[in-house]
Parts: sequence; structure tokens; C-alpha cells
Amino acid sequence: MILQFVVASIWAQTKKGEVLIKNATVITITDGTKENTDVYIKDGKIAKIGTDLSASSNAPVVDATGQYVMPGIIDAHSHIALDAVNEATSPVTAQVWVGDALDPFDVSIYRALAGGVTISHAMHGSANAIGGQNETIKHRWGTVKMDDLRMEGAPRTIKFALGENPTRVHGAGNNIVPRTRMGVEQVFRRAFSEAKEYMEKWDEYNANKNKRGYKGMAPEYDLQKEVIADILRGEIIVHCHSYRADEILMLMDVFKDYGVEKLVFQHVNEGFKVAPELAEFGAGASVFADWWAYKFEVYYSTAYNAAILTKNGVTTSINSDSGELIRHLYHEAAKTQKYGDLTDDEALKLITLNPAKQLGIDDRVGSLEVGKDGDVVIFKNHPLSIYAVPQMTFVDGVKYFDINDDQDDMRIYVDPSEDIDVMRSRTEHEKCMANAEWFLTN
Amino acid sequence: MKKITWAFLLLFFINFSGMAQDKELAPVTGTVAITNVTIVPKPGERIAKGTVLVRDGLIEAVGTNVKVPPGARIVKADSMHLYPGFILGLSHAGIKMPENKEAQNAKVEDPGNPPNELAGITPERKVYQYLSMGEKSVADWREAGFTVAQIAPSGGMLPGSTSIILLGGNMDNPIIKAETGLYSTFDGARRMYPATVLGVMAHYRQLYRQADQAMNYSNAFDEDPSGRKRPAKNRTLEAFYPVIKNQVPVYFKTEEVLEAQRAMLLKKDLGFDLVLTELKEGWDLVEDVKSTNSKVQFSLDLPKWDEKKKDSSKTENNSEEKTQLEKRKQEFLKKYYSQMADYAAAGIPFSFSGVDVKPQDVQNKLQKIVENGLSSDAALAALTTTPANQAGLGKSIGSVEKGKLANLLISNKPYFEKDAKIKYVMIEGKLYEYDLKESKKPDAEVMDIVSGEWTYEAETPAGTMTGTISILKDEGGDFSGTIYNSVTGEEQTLRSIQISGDVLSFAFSVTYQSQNLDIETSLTISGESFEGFMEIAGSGESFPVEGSKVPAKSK
Repeated sequence: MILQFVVASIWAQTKKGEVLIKNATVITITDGTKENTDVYIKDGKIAKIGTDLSASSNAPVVDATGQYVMPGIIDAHSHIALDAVNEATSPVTAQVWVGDALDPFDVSIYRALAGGVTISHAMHGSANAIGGQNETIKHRWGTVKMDDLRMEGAPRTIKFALGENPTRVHGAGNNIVPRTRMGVEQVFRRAFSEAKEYMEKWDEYNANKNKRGYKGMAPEYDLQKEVIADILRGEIIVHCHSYRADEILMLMDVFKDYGVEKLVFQHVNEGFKVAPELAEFGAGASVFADWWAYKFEVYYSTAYNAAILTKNGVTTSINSDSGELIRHLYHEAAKTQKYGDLTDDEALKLITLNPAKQLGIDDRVGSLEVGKDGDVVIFKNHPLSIYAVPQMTFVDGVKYFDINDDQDDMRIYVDPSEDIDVMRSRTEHEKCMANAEWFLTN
Repeated sequence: MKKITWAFLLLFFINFSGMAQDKELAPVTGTVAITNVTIVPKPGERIAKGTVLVRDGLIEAVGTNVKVPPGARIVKADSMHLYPGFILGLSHAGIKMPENKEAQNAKVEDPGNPPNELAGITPERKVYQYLSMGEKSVADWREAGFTVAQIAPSGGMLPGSTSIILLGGNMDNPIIKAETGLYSTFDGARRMYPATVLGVMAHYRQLYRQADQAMNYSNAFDEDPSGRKRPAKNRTLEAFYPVIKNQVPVYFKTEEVLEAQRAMLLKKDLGFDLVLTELKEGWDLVEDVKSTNSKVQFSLDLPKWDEKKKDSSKTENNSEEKTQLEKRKQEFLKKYYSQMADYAAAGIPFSFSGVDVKPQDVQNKLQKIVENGLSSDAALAALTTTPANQAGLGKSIGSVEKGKLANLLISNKPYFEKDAKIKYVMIEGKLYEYDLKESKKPDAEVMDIVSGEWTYEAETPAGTMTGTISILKDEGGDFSGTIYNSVTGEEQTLRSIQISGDVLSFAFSVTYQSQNLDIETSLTISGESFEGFMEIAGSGESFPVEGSKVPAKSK
């Protein structure tokens, strides 16, 4: 009982909706694009895709003539809806979990919905070599319950980080390992070795504890090692902040040594240099479309990154890592058509099915198929057009955004004693290092 | 050891008793009869023109046919109202925590693995070690009608264990129950683990499960030590044992709606009994509190009730956006005061905690809560029977019944009525009397001179602070103002500006060393100068301030 780190809680039943979207151009991602087609969502799931569909008499009907319907956009790297991003106090904090710090009041959720994004991967920051566990959330705006945001049944994931961030925070900031990239590798190897030892001790204890006369003491419970042991057991997908090709290769070598297979690289600016190696390992890559040079290790980059990775058979996605970029991921995906000539389906997969695969939820979302979750977005103009504007966004068949019903003040709670203009708030890029600034200024 | 401590505290109290605001009546006899009074022995009951007879600290008889023995001291309470003495939920009444300067400036070698004391992990601390009955807060809460309080230490995620004390009576023996719960917060440590809510949640699970494991091993060892290694001593983990055994609950500081959810998440994970204390934003949590079987103590530190005059929006010529915003602010202000009625309707018992609230403001807050839908019986239950039962003390406190401790309060009008004032408070038979002073009208001379600019000098713990205070009176007679201070070099807006007699009072907030401090100021104006003090709200810390008027420039 004490052995297992059970991700807590019985999820409350979240809202499931019904809607019939009529006469749209339906971009299914996995089964082509269908003109003049209806999509019917019932009890939160896609029930039918076809022509001349009918629904129960009280189902809302949306006439989408001349508009486009696509699967809800999925962002494989964001930090919205979180009260805290980094527990930056140690190079290894596998025991912490951003699912404890969810903030359903963050208006960024609504803004993301306005950009057609229905799911995001709320990640721990990149201050630590082994950061915290992440949470895959559905953008059910309007709830005050943390549990309502969790995507029930999504696999566990954890944040790792390479390069400058962990070495600046811990090596330069606190004078502890890792100060260099070599040190980062050692942090992983030590953590894995210790967790392996821990796992073996528990296995031994559990094998013997019921034997007659056994009086051994159980190994001391250690939540951090429990989590890292679960990585070794293949129960957690690792999402690793990375830029340089050499360290990407390094991490794959470490993982091979410890038999860890579930790996997605985040940012991966030099992924184009090692695309065949990534494909061979089976690692995913979640990248920016065209953003780099914001620090030294990110100078060697190209806007062709996503296309090169895709063409080499790497499961690739385009992410935001930002409460601002998350609102126009469809533009970000479209950039791969200028830089790399990806097809419409290839480009749209970067923000739908591929991030779903990277999060282990592609059996549920990422394409329009009967039986999948009713997460859809309706666009005016093709989503890859520069004129694309999301009109309505649905999660589990429930409409959470409608451009024609968009109130000025969408905050859920209002502070009665606020006396400042709260309507303007700053949006930061690369929130990866939030809560870690004070170590850097030391 | 304990005896010596209490003897010391007694001395301390005697030294300071001259400062107390209440008139303590010298007991000539241990028998007191309060006569001809309207008695509310418990919520929902009423005895007109009754008598309460108290002997040696206990209630001996209650009713209309009570025979007053000769020699009893008689308190004529004609036309007054008598209630069970109020019981305060979690508070820091009487608590003075030692300053942990080391922790404030500590730079540890490995911030990921700091010593527990520096990281705010001290569950083994007992709150009564820091209790000093001479603290002003004890007398202040007593004057507000509170006779019993749950007290908790402060500092870090696990400040220590809680106790229940009497707020008067036998001052060298105030503890009713020494171990009543484990106090927990989501406050992270400074620049070391656990620094954020992420770390606090994870570390709570870690410590709790380690404690569970250590306790089980220790039990196994006690049963059969042969062949077993002696269990390690660990005071931090041992402090969790009574919680793991469900002998006492965890009192979790959960002011915000998300904090309350996080505490309930930990309860689901770990299985402890939970009291959500200092709860401010509970209106959306009725179902969760019920389904997790958590208990509730609402904070009385509620946002200021400040209902806008109905036609003010018209005269101010607001934009529609601003009008809408004001409407939402009003709607949410109401939620803070009306949520208690929702909990009562859902059958969830609750009481009130008293952190960060001034005792003298409590009656007003409670009246607003009653105006917003909570029945006065339910409000009284939250102040008496519910906290008594939740503390397992239902047999000795919480109602006016034979055999219970003589903890009473007597007011000139029904307590929840406007302008009701407390005349007597009795704790374990000891009577405290208060003057029924009316709030003073503003002094005309002071009203004349107060507008304008003043300079001041304050002796703060951080050194001398100087600056200016500007007060402006508008046509409607309302005051506004600002204060500039030399320490942060900033100007802040004044709140709650009031003049009572010759005393000008106001509050403002400053951010000092990344802490947000609410400072309450009270200045006695005499001619063109003033003297007074500034108090850091909730800390009990105050410092002197004086100043004078800057002559108005001739136009």
C-alpha cells in the first residue's frame, strides 16, 4: 500500500455534451477531409461523422456551412493553469507533481480555447535535471475544481531538462552538481541507479515479509525514488527539455543503459541534426516552429526543423511553451508549409495527432473518429490559412468558447477588494524558468 | 517543568494586568448569581428573566426558579442577554513565536535537503510552549466575548501542534486540552525545499508515509523486539502518530478555494481527519467538504463590507465595463458573507477561526453574516456548541447548563443586533466587566484640522521611518488619503480612515522584504501634532509614531 505512489483521487464526473455540427468541411486527420459533412457528438464522444445526420430533438445544432471542423488542438508543452511551475531547490525533484498546483482560474485556459486548443500538457519547469511530474489537462473553462481539469486516464509524464537551465540554477547558483553538461548526465545515472537499488530492496522485502519468522525492516519509503522507479518500470513518459544534438544523443544513451523507452524531447532545436537517431530510438520531438537565439545554446536552429524531423519519421509536434503562442498554434503549424512543404495533413498532425501520441492519449483524441472524445474546433477559413479564425471550441461535446458570445470579463472569481486595473496582465514567453529566477540572481 | 513555566507566566500576567482593558472584579466569594437576565442556554433555546448560579467556576443552576444562596455575589443583569461564552477556532491568541532570524537569512549548503528547522518543518513543537497569557490578544479576545480558543503556532508548512485554552479565569492553568491537532499550511520555505506548493504537497506525502511506516515498525518492535533492530527516534515523524491513528485532526490553513482542494486531496491520499481552517473562499466547495467528510472553520478576516450606495453608479458616470466590474465585485463580496448560510443549509457544521482578524471587528462581521442569511441560532452554534463538540469538549463547554464550566457572556441587547455591546464576560467563574461606552463623535477641532499634509516619524523594528501623510476631505465628508514612507520610498493609499473623538485611524499596506504587511495606524491629534502607534496587522507588533502638521501654503 505504501509502496505504490498512487496518483490520487477519484475524478469527479466532468460535464459531457451533445452537439450536431452540420454541413462543414471536416478535417479528420486520419481519414481525409470530407466536404459538406456533419459531425455528431453525444455524451461527450464523437457518435457519427457523415451526411444528413440527425440528432435527438434537444441537441444543439450548429450550421457550419462554409466552415471547417478539425480535432481540438493539443499543446504538448505549456505551463498555463499552474500556481507553481518550478520546485527549483534541487537537481532532482521527481516527487513533485504539477497536478497538485493546477489553477483552473487561469484565464490563459480561456485564451487557449479561443485559439482552438482543447488539451495542453501542463509541465513542470526546466530548472532541474529531473523536474516534477506533469499533468495532461483538458480546457474545461469555468470550473473551479482542479480535478475537473485533469484528463482522466492520461498516462503519467515527467519533465527532464538538459543544458543551461539546470547547470545555471544548481551549478552556478548553488555550487552543487550539475555545473556542466557532464554533470547533468551523472545526475541521471545516479538517480536511475539509486532508484534501481531501491526497487530491488523493496522487491526483496516484499518477497520475504510474509515468510515465517522474517524480521527485516522495510526500506525507508522515498517518494522521489518511487517515481524514478516507475520511470524504469516504463509507467511514466519522459519529456525532456533539450536543445543541443550532443546532449540529445547523450540522453538516449543513458536511457538505453537503463532500458527506458518512453521518451519525448522538448524544444529539440538541433533535432534536425540527429533526426535519424531519434527515429531509430523511437523518441518524439516537440518543437517551436521558428523561435530561437534567446540564449547561447539555442543559436544553431532552423525553421525547417519540424519538416526535417517529420520526413525522417520522427513523431513531431509543435508546441507553445507560452500563454501567448498557445492562441495561434495553427499558424505555427502552417509555417511548416513555407519551411519544408509539408502537406495539410502533415502540418495539422503536428498540433493534433502527434502531440496526442507524445502524451499517450492518441487512442482518445487527436483526430475525428467515431468513439473518440468530442474535442473539436470550428474554424472560419482553413486552419492553415493566415485568415483562419476559430469560431467555437468544444471539449467533450461541451462548448467552452464561442466567438459570438465572448464576454469582456471572463474571470471566474473577482476579488472584491481589488483596486487596480486587473484586466491587463503580462504574458511571458518561456515560462520554463518561472519560480527559479531567485536562484539565478544569486 | 510545566509548573515552573506557569508560575512564570503568572508573574508575567500580574506585571501586565494593569494594562488590561477590562476591570477585573476582586472575588469575595466563589458563588455568583446573575439574575433577571434573558438566558440563551444553547442555540434555539431561551429563558426569560432567569438566573444563572455559578459556584467555584462551574454552573450550578440555570432557570427561573433558582434559589440564590446567602453570601452569593449578585449581578443584576436586568434587560440583558446571557449566552454561553464563545469558543474561537484556530487563532494565535496569546502566542508569541520566537524570532527565527537564522531561518530568515539562512543559506544552506544543499537547498534540496535543508535542516527541518530551517525548512519550516517542526511538527514536534507544542503551541503551549509559546503561550503567554499576558499577551494583549488574550484580553482582546476575551473582551469580544470569547472564553475558549484553539491556539496554534506559526511558521512554515508544519508549525507544530495545537491546544485548547481558556482565555481567562485561572491564568496559571489555562490549558483545557494540550494536544488537539496538527497545524499545517502550504507556506513554502525560503530558497530551500520545499519552496513552492509543489514541494509542500510532495513533502507532506513523504513525511506522512514515512511516519506511517515508522509507526508500524515501532509497533512491531514493541510486540516482539527479538531479532529486530531498535527503531530510530525521529521527533518529526512521531508528531504525526496521533494524526495517523485518527486521534486528532490536521488543521490545514486553507484561505483560498484551491488550498482547500489541495488539503482535501491530501486527505484522500493519506486518510487523516481534516479541518479546513481560516477558510475564506468556501462557497463552491459545499459538495466536496461533504463528500470528503472534512470539517470547516471559516475565517472572520473577510473583505471589508462596503456596499455601494445604490445610485452611486449613476452619479459617477461609469463606463458600462466599469459598472459591470463593480457589479461583479459586489456579487463576490456577498459570497464571502453568505457562504456560511449555504453550509448551514447543507447540514455541515462549522465554526470560526480568528487569525488576522481584530477581535473588536468580529461582532460586526458576524452581524453581516447573519444579515446575509445565516440564522442567529446557527451563528451562535458556530460560536458555541459546534466548536465544543468538534474539540470533544461538549460535556464541559459550549452551553449554559448545570455542571459545565461557567463560561458566559452577557450583552446589553441580543448579541447579533446592531449596537449590542458586551457588558460582562465570565470565564471559569471569574467575572470581567466592561464599560458600555458609545462610539465617540468626531471631535470638531480635529475634523477642522485633519485635512492637509502631516509629517511623521515612526520607530520601526527596521529603523526610523519618516514620511508624509496626506488627508483629503471630499464634499460628502468622506476622507481619502495617502502615506509616503522612507523605507520603501513608496506612496500608499490609506484605507478605512476614521475619526473617533480626537483619534484619527487608518490602515495601509506596504511590501517590505517581499512580505505584504497591513499596517493599522491610530493617532491622537492634539493641536497641530499627533502621537500614536502603528500596528502590523495580525502580528501584535506595534511601534510608536509621532508627527505634526505641515502649514498650508497660502494661495
